[in-house]
Amino acid sequence: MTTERFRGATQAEIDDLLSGDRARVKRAFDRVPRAELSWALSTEAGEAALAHAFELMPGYYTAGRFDSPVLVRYRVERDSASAVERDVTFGPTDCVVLAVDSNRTPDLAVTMDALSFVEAATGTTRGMELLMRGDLKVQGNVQIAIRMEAYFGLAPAGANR
Amino acid sequence: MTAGPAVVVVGAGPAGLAAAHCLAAWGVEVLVLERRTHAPVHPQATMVNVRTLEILRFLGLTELVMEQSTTLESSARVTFLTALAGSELGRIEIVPTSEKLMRLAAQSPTLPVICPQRRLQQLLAATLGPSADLRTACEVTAVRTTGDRVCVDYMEAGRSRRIEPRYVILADGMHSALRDQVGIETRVDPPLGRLLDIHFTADLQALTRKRSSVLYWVLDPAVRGVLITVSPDDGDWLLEIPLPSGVEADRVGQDALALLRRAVGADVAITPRGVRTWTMGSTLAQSWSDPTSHVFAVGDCAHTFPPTGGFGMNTGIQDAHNLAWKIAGVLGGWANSALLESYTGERRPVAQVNARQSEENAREMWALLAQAEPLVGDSAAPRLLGSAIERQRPHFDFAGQALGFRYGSPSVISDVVDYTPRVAPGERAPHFWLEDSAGRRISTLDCSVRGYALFTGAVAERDWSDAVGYVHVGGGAPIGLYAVTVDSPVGAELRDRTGAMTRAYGLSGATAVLVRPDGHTCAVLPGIDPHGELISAVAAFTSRGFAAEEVHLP
Repeated sequence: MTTERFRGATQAEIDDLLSGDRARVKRAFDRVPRAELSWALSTEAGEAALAHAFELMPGYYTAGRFDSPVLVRYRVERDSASAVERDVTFGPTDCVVLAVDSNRTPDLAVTMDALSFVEAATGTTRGMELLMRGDLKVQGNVQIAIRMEAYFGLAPAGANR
Repeated sequence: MTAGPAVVVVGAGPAGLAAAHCLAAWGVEVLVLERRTHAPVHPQATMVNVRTLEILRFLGLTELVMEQSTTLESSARVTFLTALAGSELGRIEIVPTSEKLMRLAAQSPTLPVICPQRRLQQLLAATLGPSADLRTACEVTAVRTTGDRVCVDYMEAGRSRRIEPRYVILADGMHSALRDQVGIETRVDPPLGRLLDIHFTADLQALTRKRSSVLYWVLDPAVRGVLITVSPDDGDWLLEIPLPSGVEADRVGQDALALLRRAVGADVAITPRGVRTWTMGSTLAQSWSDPTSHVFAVGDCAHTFPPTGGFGMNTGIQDAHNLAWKIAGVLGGWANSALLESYTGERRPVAQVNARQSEENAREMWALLAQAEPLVGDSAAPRLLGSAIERQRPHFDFAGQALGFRYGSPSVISDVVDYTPRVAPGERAPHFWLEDSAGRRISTLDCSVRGYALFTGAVAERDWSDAVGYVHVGGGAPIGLYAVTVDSPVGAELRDRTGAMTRAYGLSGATAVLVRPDGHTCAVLPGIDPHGELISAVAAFTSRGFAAEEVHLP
């Protein structure tokens, strides 16, 4: 990949965006114009970055919130490119990321655009804010939906009293 | 003419401070006189509802309020149990489905929060701008009208002082003595009962983590009451117990620690912080202004009702919001003083509805407590109490009451639980997100913060722009034109990305929608004669409200 492919960003910013490290991704997110971010996430490298973000989910998972596993199906939509989809199982002890199995019915389906996914994954924007903006759609078990950030150490800012 | 502030607010509770903020936002010089030196320690009200958050958002205080608050999304539940550590008898999920979650999230640019009244008061006091002055330890002794001014006598540091503002807002609580001085009479309904409040601190997180509720109703015959989340991360709680008739509140309160231990039901360290008893009932001022419309009552000075629903403080802040722009308009010369007469007619019916609903909530809860008493300990209790618990839903799940009230209509709200956004005269204009040409998101509610907002589609923009220009040239009210397009916005146009706002507001043709500075829809203007329609509407809505009857325009 070259800087040229990401027109409004430097190589360092692109490296940050694709690093999978929350702090670095957030830094890139704060600096790179949204249109460029959106474009970048619609490329092959962007797809890889989103896939990498899913792969990192188990490392951030806070176990102990569920007595039995629940299945959440993520659909991350991208401008002019195919969506990135994953099935994520939240269990009593761990979190497992798998390819979508259309034979299984998820407990919760989550749909959002790639930028919103990155915002949520880095804690830049609360899930409720994305819902309020209409950038996040959920269908299924609402209790999983409203607590999802807590499972990844991304508790709502307002709950920090 | 006497120099000094144009408006004096008596009382620095939430309603009084909100009045000062709202007036200051319009550039009005305000003096707030408060007899106390600090906010009460007792948490008092805790729930800040969605409409109040919208007002605080207009004032630029959202982030500060959020820092002082607990969000509700992770605790949008009310649990009924034998004790906090006991068995669960039932629950009400305030957001039971993902569809409702998305509907609630789309209704407003804000969400309700839990913020103790004392914190909100402190925040409001600390953030008053330069045109609002708060003086504590000042006791107002007399208020009387003198022609087009009001004479206010008060004591400050042992000295008698006098000031003569144009308007006075009484926000000095339900026991206001000043109300009578200016001829505002109050009706006191028979009390519904008495309550004992115990403020305490305890680390209850281990007991609440799995249940994550905003309220925990304890249905134990020995302690029937509610544990209220004040600030759970700080271990700050309230236990509120309805006292049966014949029970002496003082005697019950003396054993606060035993009551708390029973309600919690586990061996955890508990520290009582304060106890208060109070009579629960409704009071309502007959008129919310003096006969000359120079002295106004807001908040508990105008109305009180039971805490069941949490509408007291919220209604007070919303009173202030309704009144402030009207006073600012009259002082600014762009509104007729007759507009002030609409304050009582608009807000009093809303307070009446909130009072009746709060009373109904209390009665339903009493019935549940009575029904539960012989069932506690019975394994069938959750099943037997299921429908009675669900009947409590309007007590806790009230978007329709919080957002759907309508001025100028005999039917103030159509549904307590569900809010249906409608573009209708007297109702809060529905919230939708729009984007400016730089991609910034703007709520439709943001457009009317500093004046009237006229929404139209791109097709009719030019005609309405001319009409708005005509109002400006005539030195009329502050009014902004907001042309909305579903395509990429050009110039000052706003983009309605999904088309939902355009459909809801009916902006596909020549139509325009006029919204007041408090965010309530004035009228839907058909666009046959934009100049005539807009001038008529602005003339109407700068001189009257929706008080007597719904206003119909051409």
